Amino acid sequence: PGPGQSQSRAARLPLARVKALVKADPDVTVASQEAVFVLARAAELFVETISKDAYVYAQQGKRKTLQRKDLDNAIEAIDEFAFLE
Amino acid sequence: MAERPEDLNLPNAVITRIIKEALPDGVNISKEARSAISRAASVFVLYATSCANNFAMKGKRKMLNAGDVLSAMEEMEFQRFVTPLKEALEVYRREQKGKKEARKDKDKKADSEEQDKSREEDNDDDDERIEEEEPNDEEEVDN
Repeated sequence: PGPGQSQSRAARLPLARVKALVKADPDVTVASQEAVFVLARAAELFVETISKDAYVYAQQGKRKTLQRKDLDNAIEAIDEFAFLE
Repeated sequence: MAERPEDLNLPNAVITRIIKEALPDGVNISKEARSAISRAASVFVLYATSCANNFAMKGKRKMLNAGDVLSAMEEMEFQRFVTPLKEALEVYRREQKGKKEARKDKDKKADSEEQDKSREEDNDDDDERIEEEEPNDEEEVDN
């Protein structure tokens, strides 16, 4: 299933918290409500994605518990996560 | 309240639930992994905001809009997010429109003198500033 499939049952990040993050950027004057919504939704997709990518490493280690090192491995290996390094 | 951006985190319960829903049944997540994912999500939002803001500035706009965020996703190499985000945005717009219409009807019933003012077509109103209708609301996003 692709990233958008879980829209109906996935948990939702509260917009107020996402708004607080947007406000933290001194260069941002104002953001529309829609922009905050899309950012929240994107963050949810991001969490899904990075979790699945990290889990690959847990599987390699024959573990059923996702650990910090699985995340570190995923971040190092995957280009899109370079901004996290 | 001057918090550093990196300290602004997203609710643990929601993050945990998203992780669990993304992974097969029976898989657990260590506290450290969950915490790291949560922090990564915050950084993602900060980075996406900054990127989106560049697009707004390029368009000589002060208000960051949904389109800017979608452009940011492409820029950040998360193109595969764009379609599901567009779909989610459509649903969100319809929901907002429904809420607005419900409110207008309530206003009309409550105050008949104001009818003329509220009757304007608001096609351009979708991309509006953050309103006071969120449950745990804070002040405007203005910096």
